[in-house]
Amino acid sequence: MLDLQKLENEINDIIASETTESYNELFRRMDFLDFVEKVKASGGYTDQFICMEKIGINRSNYIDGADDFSGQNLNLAA
Amino acid sequence: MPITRKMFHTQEYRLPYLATPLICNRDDAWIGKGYYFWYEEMDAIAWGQESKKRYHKYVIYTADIDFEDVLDTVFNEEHYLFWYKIIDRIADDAYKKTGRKPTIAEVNEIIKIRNSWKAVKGIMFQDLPNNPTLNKVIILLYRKRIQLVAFDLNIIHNFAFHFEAEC
Repeated sequence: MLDLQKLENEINDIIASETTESYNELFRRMDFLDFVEKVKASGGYTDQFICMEKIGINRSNYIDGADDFSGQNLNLAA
Repeated sequence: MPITRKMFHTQEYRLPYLATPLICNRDDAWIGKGYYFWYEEMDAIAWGQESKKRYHKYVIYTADIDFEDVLDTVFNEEHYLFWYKIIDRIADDAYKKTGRKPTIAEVNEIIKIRNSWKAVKGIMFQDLPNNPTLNKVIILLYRKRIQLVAFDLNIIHNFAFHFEAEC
């Protein structure tokens, strides 16, 4: 029988010890695959993966305006 | 009384047949490194047909899983609410400190990196399958697609060959 209170206390200890630096280090270490590849390889959301491919992931800090907006500076801050 | 459930493990075709399940040890595995099982045979088959194409055949194995120390986020309400709260708490903290949402793999790593949760021998979880061939009602996602990740071989009993098929 799992002791949920004990598990919760352990998680609270982890969270209390995490810092911006430790999180960012973790993210860097885990960033060997892009997000779509992670989903694809996950063994989980393969159905959703098809949607993810179509949607795409914007990793830049701006969004290119579509042709309909040519002549206008519509690059948007992300 | 401990609950035991019969579950299904999909692997590529190989001989001799496996005597124990294979661990999924990719760093980006859906919910961490472990032995993955399907709750329903139809999902095990769908996964074989979908993911094992390069082997042309796949094999389904069965096993009896001891749920005594499994976090059952699907059928146990207390476990579900606990899981929900914990994931939210980790995600909120990561976002607050970095301004970035973590992926599920990263949340899992945050838990594992501190070598915590040794008592948890497995996690059962679900997603919502939208494969139209497996749902009998259009749009209504009434069926859960359920998986278990077992972290400890000792909760896996009577692992056995079930059948093989082409894909």
